[in-house]
Amino acid sequence: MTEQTDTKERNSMAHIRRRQVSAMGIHYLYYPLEYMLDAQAAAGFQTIELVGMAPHFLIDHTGYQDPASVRRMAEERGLTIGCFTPECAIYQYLMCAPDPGSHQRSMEYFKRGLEAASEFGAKLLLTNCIGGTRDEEYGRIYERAVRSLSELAPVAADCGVTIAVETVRPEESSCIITLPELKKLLADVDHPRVRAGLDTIAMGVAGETPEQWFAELGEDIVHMHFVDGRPYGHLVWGDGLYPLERYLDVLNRHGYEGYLSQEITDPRYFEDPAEADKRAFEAFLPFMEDAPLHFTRCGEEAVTDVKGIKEPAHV
Amino acid sequence: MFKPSVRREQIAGMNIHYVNYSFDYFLDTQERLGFRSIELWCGVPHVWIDHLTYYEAAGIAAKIRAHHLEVRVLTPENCLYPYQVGAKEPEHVKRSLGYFKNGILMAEELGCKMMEINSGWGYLNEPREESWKRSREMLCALATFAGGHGVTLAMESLRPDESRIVTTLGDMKQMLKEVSSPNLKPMADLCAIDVAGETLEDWFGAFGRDLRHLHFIDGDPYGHLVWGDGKRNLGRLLGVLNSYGYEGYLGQEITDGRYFADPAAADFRNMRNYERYMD
Repeated sequence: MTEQTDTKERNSMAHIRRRQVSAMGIHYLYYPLEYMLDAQAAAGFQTIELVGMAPHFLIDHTGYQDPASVRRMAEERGLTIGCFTPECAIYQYLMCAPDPGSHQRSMEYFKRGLEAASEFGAKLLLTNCIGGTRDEEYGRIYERAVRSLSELAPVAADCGVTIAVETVRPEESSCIITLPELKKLLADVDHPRVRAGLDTIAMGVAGETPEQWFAELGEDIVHMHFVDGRPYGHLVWGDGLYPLERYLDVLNRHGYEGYLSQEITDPRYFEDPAEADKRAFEAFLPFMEDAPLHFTRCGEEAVTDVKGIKEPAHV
Repeated sequence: MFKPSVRREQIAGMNIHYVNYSFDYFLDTQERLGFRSIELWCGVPHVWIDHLTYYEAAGIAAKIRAHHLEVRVLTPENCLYPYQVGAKEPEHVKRSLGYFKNGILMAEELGCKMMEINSGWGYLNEPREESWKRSREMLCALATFAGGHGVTLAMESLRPDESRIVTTLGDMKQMLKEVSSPNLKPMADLCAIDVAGETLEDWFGAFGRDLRHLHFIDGDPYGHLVWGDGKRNLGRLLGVLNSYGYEGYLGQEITDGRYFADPAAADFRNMRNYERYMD
Protein backbone atom coordinates (compact mmCIF):
# COMPACT_ATOMS: atom_id res chain seq x y z
CA MET A 1 0.00 0.00 0.00
CA THR A 2 1.48 3.36 -0.95
CA GLU A 3 1.12 6.63 0.91
CA GLN A 4 -0.62 8.27 -2.04
CA THR A 5 -3.60 5.97 -2.35
CA ASP A 6 -6.43 8.13 -3.62
CA THR A 7 -9.62 8.48 -1.65
CA LYS A 8 -11.76 6.46 -3.98
CA GLU A 9 -9.38 3.54 -4.00
CA ARG A 10 -8.94 3.73 -0.23
CA ASN A 11 -12.67 3.51 0.31
CA SER A 12 -12.87 0.41 -1.80
CA MET A 13 -10.10 -1.26 0.13
CA ALA A 14 -10.52 -2.85 3.52
CA HIS A 15 -10.29 -0.03 6.03
CA ILE A 16 -10.77 0.52 9.70
CA ARG A 17 -10.44 3.40 12.14
CA ARG A 18 -8.11 3.14 15.08
CA ARG A 19 -10.72 3.67 17.77
CA GLN A 20 -12.79 0.78 16.41
CA VAL A 21 -10.11 -1.75 17.30
CA SER A 22 -10.85 -2.49 20.92
CA ALA A 23 -8.70 -4.33 23.46
CA MET A 24 -9.96 -6.85 26.00
CA GLY A 25 -8.32 -8.25 29.11
CA ILE A 26 -9.33 -11.88 29.62
CA HIS A 27 -5.78 -13.00 28.87
CA TYR A 28 -4.46 -10.69 31.63
CA LEU A 29 -5.81 -13.09 34.26
CA TYR A 30 -2.36 -13.19 35.88
CA TYR A 31 -1.72 -9.44 35.72
CA PRO A 32 -3.24 -6.46 37.55
CA LEU A 33 -5.48 -3.82 35.97
CA GLU A 34 -2.76 -1.19 35.82
CA TYR A 35 -0.38 -3.47 33.94
CA MET A 36 -3.14 -4.33 31.48
CA LEU A 37 -4.09 -0.73 30.76
CA ASP A 38 -0.43 0.30 30.39
CA ALA A 39 0.19 -2.52 27.92
CA GLN A 40 -2.94 -1.87 25.88
CA ALA A 41 -2.24 1.85 25.60
CA ALA A 42 1.36 1.09 24.61
CA ALA A 43 0.15 -1.39 21.98
CA GLY A 44 -1.72 1.49 20.33
CA PHE A 45 -5.32 0.88 21.40
CA GLN A 46 -7.61 3.82 22.12
CA THR A 47 -10.65 1.75 23.07
CA ILE A 48 -11.15 -1.12 25.47
CA GLU A 49 -13.97 -3.51 26.23
CA LEU A 50 -13.62 -3.86 29.98
CA VAL A 51 -14.51 -7.30 31.34
CA GLY A 52 -16.04 -7.46 34.81
CA MET A 53 -13.74 -10.19 36.08
CA ALA A 54 -11.19 -10.71 38.84
CA PRO A 55 -8.72 -9.22 39.36
CA HIS A 56 -9.54 -6.25 37.11
CA PHE A 57 -13.05 -5.24 38.12
CA LEU A 58 -15.08 -6.96 40.82
CA ILE A 59 -18.84 -6.99 40.45
CA ASP A 60 -21.59 -9.10 42.00
CA HIS A 61 -25.37 -9.03 42.24
CA THR A 62 -25.28 -6.50 45.07
CA GLY A 63 -22.80 -3.98 43.71
CA TYR A 64 -19.41 -3.27 42.19
CA GLN A 65 -16.06 -1.64 42.80
CA ASP A 66 -15.71 2.11 42.40
CA PRO A 67 -16.04 2.56 38.63
CA ALA A 68 -14.82 6.18 38.66
CA SER A 69 -11.26 5.24 39.61
CA VAL A 70 -11.11 2.53 36.95
CA ARG A 71 -12.49 4.92 34.33
CA ARG A 72 -9.94 7.53 35.37
CA MET A 73 -7.09 5.01 35.11
CA ALA A 74 -8.21 4.15 31.58
CA GLU A 75 -8.70 7.75 30.50
CA GLU A 76 -5.33 8.84 31.89
CA ARG A 77 -3.84 6.40 29.37
CA GLY A 78 -5.96 7.67 26.49
CA LEU A 79 -8.30 4.69 26.63
CA THR A 80 -12.08 4.91 26.28
CA ILE A 81 -14.22 2.13 27.72
CA GLY A 82 -16.43 1.40 24.72
CA CYS A 83 -18.16 -1.68 26.08
CA PHE A 84 -18.51 -3.28 29.49
CA THR A 85 -18.89 -7.05 29.69
CA PRO A 86 -19.66 -8.51 33.09
CA GLU A 87 -18.15 -12.01 32.95
CA CYS A 88 -21.04 -14.15 31.69
CA ALA A 89 -19.76 -17.61 30.80
CA ILE A 90 -17.75 -19.08 33.68
CA TYR A 91 -18.83 -17.31 36.88
CA GLN A 92 -21.97 -18.11 38.86
CA TYR A 93 -24.04 -15.55 37.01
CA LEU A 94 -25.72 -16.84 33.85
CA MET A 95 -28.51 -15.29 31.79
CA CYS A 96 -30.52 -18.52 31.59
CA ALA A 97 -29.71 -19.93 35.05
CA PRO A 98 -32.32 -22.67 35.65
CA ASP A 99 -33.36 -22.37 39.29
CA PRO A 100 -35.28 -19.31 40.49
CA GLY A 101 -32.69 -18.20 43.07
CA SER A 102 -29.77 -18.39 40.65
CA HIS A 103 -31.77 -16.69 37.95
CA GLN A 104 -32.84 -13.84 40.17
CA ARG A 105 -29.27 -13.21 41.36
CA SER A 106 -28.10 -13.33 37.76
CA MET A 107 -30.70 -10.76 36.73
CA GLU A 108 -29.55 -8.46 39.54
CA TYR A 109 -25.95 -9.00 38.44
CA PHE A 110 -26.66 -7.93 34.86
CA LYS A 111 -28.58 -4.90 36.14
CA ARG A 112 -25.50 -3.94 38.18
CA GLY A 113 -23.54 -4.48 34.99
CA LEU A 114 -25.72 -2.05 33.06
CA GLU A 115 -25.35 0.52 35.83
CA ALA A 116 -21.58 0.05 35.87
CA ALA A 117 -21.45 0.37 32.06
CA SER A 118 -23.25 3.67 32.33
CA GLU A 119 -20.75 4.92 34.92
CA PHE A 120 -17.86 3.90 32.67
CA GLY A 121 -19.41 5.97 29.89
CA ALA A 122 -19.81 2.77 27.85
CA LYS A 123 -22.78 2.62 25.50
CA LEU A 124 -22.66 -1.16 25.20
CA LEU A 125 -22.88 -4.23 27.41
CA LEU A 126 -22.13 -7.57 25.82
CA THR A 127 -23.70 -10.79 27.03
CA ASN A 128 -25.12 -14.13 25.87
CA CYS A 129 -27.77 -16.70 26.80
CA ILE A 130 -25.72 -19.34 28.61
CA GLY A 131 -27.17 -21.24 31.57
CA GLY A 132 -29.80 -23.73 30.47
CA THR A 133 -28.98 -27.39 31.10
CA ARG A 134 -29.09 -30.25 28.56
CA ASP A 135 -31.68 -32.17 30.52
CA GLU A 136 -34.15 -29.30 30.24
CA GLU A 137 -36.53 -28.68 27.35
CA TYR A 138 -35.15 -26.28 24.75
CA GLY A 139 -38.36 -24.29 24.70
CA ARG A 140 -38.15 -23.52 28.40
CA ILE A 141 -34.57 -22.26 28.08
CA TYR A 142 -35.48 -20.16 25.07
CA GLU A 143 -38.44 -18.64 26.90
CA ARG A 144 -36.15 -17.81 29.82
CA ALA A 145 -33.76 -16.05 27.42
CA VAL A 146 -36.60 -13.92 26.04
CA ARG A 147 -37.95 -13.17 29.51
CA SER A 148 -34.50 -12.31 30.93
CA LEU A 149 -33.56 -9.91 28.15
CA SER A 150 -37.03 -8.34 28.25
CA GLU A 151 -36.50 -7.69 31.97
CA LEU A 152 -33.09 -6.13 31.36
CA ALA A 153 -34.10 -4.01 28.35
CA PRO A 154 -35.82 -1.16 30.25
CA VAL A 155 -32.93 -1.01 32.73
CA ALA A 156 -30.56 -0.74 29.76
CA ALA A 157 -32.69 2.10 28.38
CA ASP A 158 -32.55 3.92 31.73
CA CYS A 159 -28.78 3.54 31.74
CA GLY A 160 -28.37 4.65 28.12
CA VAL A 161 -26.75 1.32 27.33
CA THR A 162 -27.49 -1.14 24.51
CA ILE A 163 -27.23 -4.87 25.22
CA ALA A 164 -25.35 -6.77 22.52
CA VAL A 165 -26.25 -10.48 22.60
CA GLU A 166 -23.64 -12.85 21.20
CA THR A 167 -24.02 -16.46 20.19
CA VAL A 168 -21.68 -18.97 21.83
CA ARG A 169 -20.23 -22.39 21.03
CA PRO A 170 -22.38 -25.52 21.54
CA GLU A 171 -20.01 -26.59 24.34
CA GLU A 172 -21.15 -23.55 26.32
CA SER A 173 -24.89 -23.59 25.72
CA SER A 174 -27.65 -25.44 23.96
CA CYS A 175 -29.60 -22.26 23.25
CA ILE A 176 -28.80 -19.19 21.10
CA ILE A 177 -25.74 -20.69 19.45
CA THR A 178 -26.72 -19.93 15.85
CA LEU A 179 -27.66 -16.90 13.77
CA PRO A 180 -31.28 -17.98 13.11
CA GLU A 181 -31.87 -18.49 16.85
CA LEU A 182 -30.45 -15.08 17.66
CA LYS A 183 -32.52 -13.44 14.96
CA LYS A 184 -35.68 -15.02 16.35
CA LEU A 185 -34.71 -14.07 19.90
CA LEU A 186 -34.19 -10.41 18.98
CA ALA A 187 -37.54 -10.38 17.16
CA ASP A 188 -39.28 -11.90 20.20
CA VAL A 189 -37.65 -9.50 22.67
CA ASP A 190 -38.32 -6.69 20.19
CA HIS A 191 -36.61 -3.87 22.06
CA PRO A 192 -34.27 -1.25 20.56
CA ARG A 193 -31.87 -1.72 23.48
CA VAL A 194 -31.40 -5.45 22.81
CA ARG A 195 -29.34 -6.06 19.65
CA ALA A 196 -26.76 -8.44 18.22
CA GLY A 197 -23.09 -8.97 18.98
CA LEU A 198 -21.14 -10.94 16.38
CA ASP A 199 -18.52 -13.26 17.91
CA THR A 200 -16.43 -14.60 15.06
CA ILE A 201 -15.61 -17.81 16.93
CA ALA A 202 -19.22 -18.81 17.69
CA MET A 203 -20.00 -17.78 14.11
CA GLY A 204 -17.27 -19.99 12.65
CA VAL A 205 -18.07 -22.97 14.86
CA ALA A 206 -21.71 -22.71 13.72
CA GLY A 207 -20.50 -22.77 10.10
CA GLU A 208 -21.65 -19.21 9.48
CA THR A 209 -19.98 -16.25 7.78
CA PRO A 210 -19.92 -12.47 8.42
CA GLU A 211 -21.78 -12.04 5.11
CA GLN A 212 -24.66 -14.18 6.39
CA TRP A 213 -24.78 -12.28 9.67
CA PHE A 214 -24.98 -8.90 7.94
CA ALA A 215 -27.50 -10.20 5.42
CA GLU A 216 -29.77 -11.39 8.25
CA LEU A 217 -29.18 -8.77 10.93
CA GLY A 218 -27.67 -5.74 9.15
CA GLU A 219 -27.65 -2.72 11.44
CA ASP A 220 -28.79 -4.80 14.37
CA ILE A 221 -25.15 -5.86 14.71
CA VAL A 222 -23.94 -3.28 17.21
CA HIS A 223 -20.79 -4.94 18.48
CA MET A 224 -18.21 -7.60 17.62
CA HIS A 225 -15.75 -9.96 19.18
CA PHE A 226 -13.64 -9.95 16.07
CA VAL A 227 -10.81 -12.44 16.54
CA ASP A 228 -9.00 -15.11 14.55
CA GLY A 229 -10.02 -18.77 14.92
CA ARG A 230 -9.53 -22.24 13.49
CA PRO A 231 -12.55 -21.84 13.97
CA TYR A 232 -12.11 -22.74 17.66
CA GLY A 233 -9.82 -20.65 19.85
CA HIS A 234 -10.03 -16.92 20.46
CA LEU A 235 -6.77 -16.06 18.77
CA VAL A 236 -4.63 -13.11 17.78
CA TRP A 237 -5.06 -12.33 14.08
CA GLY A 238 -2.51 -14.40 12.24
CA ASP A 239 -2.64 -17.32 14.66
CA GLY A 240 -5.83 -18.75 13.17
CA LEU A 241 -7.29 -19.47 9.76
CA TYR A 242 -9.68 -16.57 9.16
CA PRO A 243 -9.23 -14.17 6.22
CA LEU A 244 -8.87 -10.80 7.95
CA GLU A 245 -9.00 -8.61 4.87
CA ARG A 246 -12.03 -10.38 3.37
CA TYR A 247 -13.88 -10.10 6.67
CA LEU A 248 -13.04 -6.39 6.91
CA ASP A 249 -14.33 -5.98 3.35
CA VAL A 250 -17.67 -7.39 4.49
CA LEU A 251 -17.79 -4.99 7.43
CA ASN A 252 -17.00 -2.06 5.15
CA ARG A 253 -19.53 -3.09 2.54
CA HIS A 254 -22.24 -3.12 5.20
CA GLY A 255 -21.07 0.13 6.75
CA TYR A 256 -20.23 -1.38 10.14
CA GLU A 257 -18.93 1.42 12.37
CA GLY A 258 -18.84 -0.42 15.72
CA TYR A 259 -16.00 -1.93 17.68
CA LEU A 260 -13.85 -4.92 16.79
CA SER A 261 -12.95 -6.28 20.20
CA GLN A 262 -9.89 -8.46 20.49
CA GLU A 263 -11.32 -11.12 22.79
CA ILE A 264 -8.15 -13.12 23.14
CA THR A 265 -8.73 -15.99 25.53
CA ASP A 266 -6.42 -18.83 24.60
CA PRO A 267 -4.15 -19.83 27.52
CA ARG A 268 -1.13 -19.62 25.23
CA TYR A 269 -1.34 -15.84 25.67
CA PHE A 270 -1.63 -15.76 29.48
CA GLU A 271 2.09 -15.59 30.19
CA ASP A 272 2.75 -12.57 27.98
CA PRO A 273 -0.59 -10.91 27.20
CA ALA A 274 1.11 -7.63 26.32
CA GLU A 275 2.92 -9.28 23.42
CA ALA A 276 -0.38 -10.76 22.22
CA ASP A 277 -2.06 -7.35 22.34
CA LYS A 278 0.79 -5.73 20.49
CA ARG A 279 0.41 -8.24 17.67
CA ALA A 280 -3.38 -7.99 17.76
CA PHE A 281 -3.23 -4.24 17.21
CA GLU A 282 -0.50 -4.46 14.58
CA ALA A 283 -2.59 -6.88 12.53
CA PHE A 284 -4.98 -3.99 11.77
CA LEU A 285 -2.30 -1.42 10.87
CA PRO A 286 -2.29 -2.14 7.12
CA PHE A 287 -6.00 -1.29 7.07
CA MET A 288 -5.99 1.61 9.51
CA GLU A 289 -6.92 4.99 8.06
CA ASP A 290 -5.56 6.84 11.05
CA ALA A 291 -2.66 4.66 12.14
CA PRO A 292 -0.61 6.23 14.94
CA LEU A 293 2.43 8.09 13.67
CA HIS A 294 5.03 6.03 15.48
CA PHE A 295 3.85 2.92 13.72
CA THR A 296 4.87 2.27 10.17
CA ARG A 297 3.19 0.32 7.47
CA CYS A 298 6.28 -0.59 5.56
CA GLY A 299 8.82 -1.48 8.21
CA GLU A 300 11.10 1.53 7.67
CA GLU A 301 10.82 2.90 11.18
CA ALA A 302 11.20 1.25 14.51
CA VAL A 303 8.27 0.41 16.74
CA THR A 304 8.69 0.74 20.45
CA ASP A 305 7.24 -2.24 22.22
CA VAL A 306 5.70 -2.15 25.67
CA LYS A 307 8.91 -2.98 27.42
CA GLY A 308 10.65 -0.05 25.72
CA ILE A 309 12.85 -2.23 23.55
CA LYS A 310 13.35 -1.03 19.99
CA GLU A 311 12.70 -3.61 17.39
CA PRO A 312 11.95 -3.52 13.69
CA ALA A 313 8.34 -3.20 12.66
CA HIS A 314 7.13 -6.35 11.03
CA VAL A 315 3.91 -5.04 9.62
CA MET B 1 0.67 -62.57 43.74
CA PHE B 2 -0.27 -59.08 45.02
CA LYS B 3 -3.57 -57.92 43.59
CA PRO B 4 -4.29 -54.18 43.64
CA SER B 5 -7.70 -53.35 45.02
CA VAL B 6 -9.98 -50.48 45.81
CA ARG B 7 -13.23 -50.19 47.77
CA ARG B 8 -16.33 -48.81 46.09
CA GLU B 9 -16.72 -46.20 48.84
CA GLN B 10 -13.29 -44.81 48.00
CA ILE B 11 -14.29 -43.75 44.49
CA ALA B 12 -15.66 -40.23 44.86
CA GLY B 13 -17.60 -39.09 41.79
CA MET B 14 -17.37 -35.43 40.86
CA ASN B 15 -19.72 -33.10 39.06
CA ILE B 16 -17.44 -30.68 37.17
CA HIS B 17 -18.08 -32.36 33.83
CA TYR B 18 -21.84 -32.21 34.54
CA VAL B 19 -21.70 -28.42 34.27
CA ASN B 20 -24.20 -28.54 31.37
CA TYR B 21 -26.60 -30.78 33.31
CA SER B 22 -28.75 -30.33 36.39
CA PHE B 23 -27.71 -31.43 39.87
CA ASP B 24 -30.56 -33.97 39.88
CA TYR B 25 -29.21 -35.53 36.69
CA PHE B 26 -25.74 -35.80 38.24
CA LEU B 27 -26.99 -37.43 41.44
CA ASP B 28 -29.27 -39.81 39.61
CA THR B 29 -26.43 -40.88 37.32
CA GLN B 30 -23.99 -41.41 40.20
CA GLU B 31 -26.43 -43.59 42.05
CA ARG B 32 -27.26 -45.69 39.00
CA LEU B 33 -23.59 -46.20 38.12
CA GLY B 34 -22.81 -47.54 41.57
CA PHE B 35 -21.08 -44.59 43.19
CA ARG B 36 -21.49 -44.26 46.95
CA SER B 37 -19.24 -41.28 47.58
CA ILE B 38 -18.97 -37.92 45.91
CA GLU B 39 -16.53 -35.05 45.99
CA LEU B 40 -18.95 -32.19 45.64
CA TRP B 41 -17.72 -29.50 43.27
CA CYS B 42 -19.44 -26.29 44.23
CA GLY B 43 -20.23 -24.44 41.04
CA VAL B 44 -23.38 -23.48 39.18
CA PRO B 45 -25.79 -24.86 38.17
CA HIS B 46 -25.34 -27.37 41.03
CA VAL B 47 -24.19 -25.47 44.10
CA TRP B 48 -23.84 -21.73 44.59
CA ILE B 49 -21.29 -20.39 47.04
CA ASP B 50 -20.09 -16.81 46.82
CA HIS B 51 -18.27 -14.31 49.05
CA LEU B 52 -21.53 -13.21 50.67
CA THR B 53 -23.11 -16.52 51.62
CA TYR B 54 -23.96 -20.08 50.51
CA TYR B 55 -27.33 -21.26 49.35
CA GLU B 56 -29.80 -24.09 49.94
CA ALA B 57 -27.52 -26.36 51.97
CA ALA B 58 -30.44 -28.25 53.53
CA GLY B 59 -32.05 -28.97 50.17
CA ILE B 60 -28.75 -30.10 48.70
CA ALA B 61 -28.08 -32.41 51.67
CA ALA B 62 -31.55 -33.94 51.35
CA LYS B 63 -31.11 -34.63 47.63
CA ILE B 64 -27.73 -36.26 48.18
CA ARG B 65 -29.15 -38.47 50.95
CA ALA B 66 -32.10 -39.45 48.79
CA HIS B 67 -29.63 -40.81 46.23
CA HIS B 68 -27.76 -42.82 48.91
CA LEU B 69 -24.59 -40.82 48.37
CA GLU B 70 -22.25 -39.16 50.84
CA VAL B 71 -20.20 -36.00 50.36
CA ARG B 72 -16.67 -36.94 51.39
CA VAL B 73 -14.90 -33.81 50.17
CA LEU B 74 -16.24 -30.41 49.23
CA THR B 75 -14.45 -28.54 46.47
CA PRO B 76 -15.44 -24.95 45.90
CA GLU B 77 -14.68 -23.94 42.31
CA ASN B 78 -11.24 -22.44 42.89
CA CYS B 79 -9.70 -21.86 39.50
CA LEU B 80 -12.40 -20.14 37.43
CA TYR B 81 -14.42 -18.08 39.91
CA PRO B 82 -13.31 -14.58 40.91
CA TYR B 83 -11.58 -15.69 44.10
CA GLN B 84 -8.10 -16.94 44.94
CA VAL B 85 -5.97 -17.59 48.00
CA GLY B 86 -3.19 -15.43 46.51
CA ALA B 87 -5.39 -12.34 45.98
CA LYS B 88 -3.65 -8.99 46.34
CA GLU B 89 -6.03 -6.02 46.38
CA PRO B 90 -7.82 -5.58 49.75
CA GLU B 91 -11.31 -5.99 48.26
CA HIS B 92 -10.23 -9.11 46.35
CA VAL B 93 -8.65 -10.54 49.52
CA LYS B 94 -11.81 -9.85 51.49
CA ARG B 95 -14.04 -11.50 48.90
CA SER B 96 -11.74 -14.49 48.49
CA LEU B 97 -11.55 -15.05 52.24
CA GLY B 98 -15.33 -14.78 52.48
CA TYR B 99 -15.78 -17.25 49.65
CA PHE B 100 -13.60 -19.97 51.13
CA LYS B 101 -15.08 -19.44 54.59
CA ASN B 102 -18.53 -19.96 53.10
CA GLY B 103 -17.19 -23.15 51.52
CA ILE B 104 -16.11 -24.36 54.97
CA LEU B 105 -19.54 -23.52 56.39
CA MET B 106 -21.24 -25.34 53.55
CA ALA B 107 -19.01 -28.39 54.16
CA GLU B 108 -19.90 -28.35 57.85
CA GLU B 109 -23.59 -28.13 57.07
CA LEU B 110 -23.36 -31.08 54.66
CA GLY B 111 -21.56 -33.16 57.29
CA CYS B 112 -18.40 -33.20 55.18
CA LYS B 113 -15.06 -33.17 57.01
CA MET B 114 -12.75 -32.06 54.24
CA MET B 115 -12.54 -29.11 51.88
CA GLU B 116 -10.19 -28.97 48.91
CA ILE B 117 -8.12 -25.84 48.32
CA ASN B 118 -5.05 -24.61 46.45
CA SER B 119 -2.45 -21.90 47.01
CA GLY B 120 -3.88 -19.44 44.48
CA TRP B 121 -1.58 -17.84 41.92
CA GLY B 122 -0.98 -14.13 42.49
CA TYR B 123 0.51 -12.07 39.68
CA LEU B 124 3.27 -12.84 37.20
CA ASN B 125 4.70 -9.30 37.39
CA GLU B 126 5.58 -9.39 41.08
CA PRO B 127 8.25 -11.18 43.10
CA ARG B 128 7.10 -14.71 43.92
CA GLU B 129 7.77 -14.08 47.63
CA GLU B 130 4.98 -11.51 47.74
CA SER B 131 2.29 -13.78 46.36
CA TRP B 132 3.66 -16.61 48.52
CA LYS B 133 3.32 -14.45 51.64
CA ARG B 134 -0.27 -13.48 50.84
CA SER B 135 -1.13 -17.11 50.11
CA ARG B 136 0.37 -18.22 53.43
CA GLU B 137 -1.57 -15.55 55.34
CA MET B 138 -4.90 -16.55 53.85
CA LEU B 139 -4.18 -20.26 54.33
CA CYS B 140 -3.40 -19.57 58.02
CA ALA B 141 -6.68 -17.70 58.46
CA LEU B 142 -8.67 -20.37 56.64
CA ALA B 143 -7.02 -23.26 58.49
CA THR B 144 -7.94 -21.68 61.82
CA PHE B 145 -11.49 -21.05 60.65
CA ALA B 146 -11.78 -24.60 59.29
CA GLY B 147 -10.59 -26.05 62.58
CA GLY B 148 -13.34 -24.19 64.38
CA HIS B 149 -15.89 -25.92 62.18
CA GLY B 150 -14.51 -29.44 62.22
CA VAL B 151 -13.20 -29.25 58.67
CA THR B 152 -9.73 -30.14 57.38
CA LEU B 153 -8.36 -28.31 54.35
CA ALA B 154 -6.72 -30.57 51.77
CA MET B 155 -4.38 -28.56 49.57
CA GLU B 156 -3.34 -29.65 46.09
CA SER B 157 -0.42 -28.32 44.08
CA LEU B 158 -1.10 -26.53 40.79
CA ARG B 159 0.52 -26.75 37.38
CA PRO B 160 3.16 -24.11 36.55
CA ASP B 161 0.84 -22.66 33.90
CA GLU B 162 -1.73 -22.02 36.65
CA SER B 163 0.40 -20.64 39.46
CA ARG B 164 3.88 -19.88 40.71
CA ILE B 165 3.07 -20.43 44.38
CA VAL B 166 2.61 -24.12 45.29
CA THR B 167 3.35 -26.21 42.19
CA THR B 168 5.77 -28.85 43.48
CA LEU B 169 6.21 -31.30 46.32
CA GLY B 170 8.94 -29.05 47.72
CA ASP B 171 6.61 -26.02 47.64
CA MET B 172 3.94 -28.06 49.40
CA LYS B 173 6.30 -29.11 52.19
CA GLN B 174 7.48 -25.54 52.66
CA MET B 175 3.97 -24.05 52.73
CA LEU B 176 2.69 -26.68 55.17
CA LYS B 177 5.66 -26.00 57.40
CA GLU B 178 5.06 -22.25 57.35
CA VAL B 179 1.31 -22.51 57.95
CA SER B 180 1.89 -25.26 60.50
CA SER B 181 -1.74 -26.09 61.23
CA PRO B 182 -3.27 -29.49 61.96
CA ASN B 183 -6.18 -28.36 59.78
CA LEU B 184 -4.16 -27.96 56.59
CA LYS B 185 -3.05 -31.22 54.98
CA PRO B 186 -1.60 -32.15 51.60
CA MET B 187 -3.42 -33.90 48.80
CA ALA B 188 -2.05 -35.05 45.45
CA ASP B 189 -3.55 -34.31 42.06
CA LEU B 190 -2.07 -36.83 39.63
CA CYS B 191 -2.07 -34.29 36.80
CA ALA B 192 -0.19 -31.63 38.75
CA ILE B 193 2.36 -34.01 40.25
CA ASP B 194 2.95 -35.73 36.92
CA VAL B 195 3.49 -32.39 35.17
CA ALA B 196 5.96 -31.50 37.95
CA GLY B 197 7.84 -34.74 37.22
CA GLU B 198 6.89 -36.27 40.56
CA THR B 199 5.36 -39.63 41.49
CA LEU B 200 2.79 -40.85 43.96
CA GLU B 201 5.62 -42.70 45.70
CA ASP B 202 7.41 -39.35 46.14
CA TRP B 203 4.33 -37.86 47.77
CA PHE B 204 3.64 -40.82 50.06
CA GLY B 205 7.33 -40.86 50.91
CA ALA B 206 7.19 -37.21 51.93
CA PHE B 207 3.84 -37.13 53.73
CA GLY B 208 2.87 -40.72 54.58
CA ARG B 209 -0.52 -40.84 56.27
CA ASP B 210 -0.76 -37.05 56.19
CA LEU B 211 -1.61 -37.34 52.51
CA ARG B 212 -5.35 -37.05 53.01
CA HIS B 213 -6.87 -36.93 49.57
CA LEU B 214 -6.25 -37.58 45.88
CA HIS B 215 -7.46 -36.34 42.54
CA PHE B 216 -6.90 -39.72 40.97
CA ILE B 217 -7.46 -39.39 37.23
CA ASP B 218 -5.87 -40.48 33.98
CA GLY B 219 -3.72 -38.05 31.96
CA ASP B 220 -1.01 -37.68 29.35
CA PRO B 221 0.29 -36.09 31.68
CA TYR B 222 -1.91 -33.06 31.03
CA GLY B 223 -5.66 -33.42 31.09
CA HIS B 224 -8.02 -34.66 33.78
CA LEU B 225 -9.27 -37.74 31.99
CA VAL B 226 -11.39 -40.80 32.51
CA TRP B 227 -9.31 -43.95 33.14
CA GLY B 228 -8.44 -45.42 29.78
CA ASP B 229 -8.15 -42.11 27.94
CA GLY B 230 -4.64 -41.23 29.13
CA LYS B 231 -1.39 -43.05 29.65
CA ARG B 232 -1.36 -43.88 33.35
CA ASN B 233 -1.57 -47.46 34.58
CA LEU B 234 -4.59 -47.80 36.84
CA GLY B 235 -3.62 -51.15 38.34
CA ARG B 236 -0.07 -50.12 39.12
CA LEU B 237 -1.17 -46.85 40.76
CA LEU B 238 -3.86 -48.59 42.84
CA GLY B 239 -1.09 -50.95 43.92
CA VAL B 240 0.93 -47.92 45.09
CA LEU B 241 -2.06 -46.77 47.17
CA ASN B 242 -2.36 -50.26 48.66
CA SER B 243 1.32 -50.48 49.49
CA TYR B 244 1.15 -47.23 51.47
CA GLY B 245 -2.09 -48.28 53.16
CA TYR B 246 -4.05 -45.35 51.70
CA GLU B 247 -7.66 -45.52 52.89
CA GLY B 248 -8.79 -42.07 51.71
CA TYR B 249 -10.84 -41.11 48.70
CA LEU B 250 -10.06 -41.04 44.99
CA GLY B 251 -11.69 -37.86 43.69
CA GLN B 252 -12.72 -38.23 40.05
CA GLU B 253 -11.89 -34.70 38.95
CA ILE B 254 -12.74 -35.10 35.30
CA THR B 255 -12.53 -31.70 33.65
CA ASP B 256 -11.79 -32.23 29.98
CA GLY B 257 -14.31 -30.57 27.68
CA ARG B 258 -14.69 -33.77 25.65
CA TYR B 259 -16.84 -35.21 28.46
CA PHE B 260 -19.22 -32.27 28.86
CA ALA B 261 -21.69 -33.45 26.21
CA ASP B 262 -22.21 -36.88 27.80
CA PRO B 263 -20.71 -37.00 31.30
CA ALA B 264 -22.75 -40.08 32.23
CA ALA B 265 -21.10 -42.13 29.48
CA ALA B 266 -17.69 -41.00 30.75
CA ASP B 267 -18.53 -41.95 34.33
CA PHE B 268 -19.91 -45.30 33.19
CA ARG B 269 -16.61 -46.21 31.53
CA ASN B 270 -14.65 -44.85 34.47
CA MET B 271 -16.55 -46.83 37.08
CA ARG B 272 -16.33 -50.04 35.02
CA ASN B 273 -12.56 -49.65 34.97
CA TYR B 274 -12.45 -49.32 38.77
CA GLU B 275 -14.80 -52.27 39.24
CA ARG B 276 -12.16 -54.60 37.80
CA TYR B 277 -10.20 -53.91 41.00
CA MET B 278 -13.07 -54.31 43.46
CA ASP B 279 -13.57 -57.48 45.49
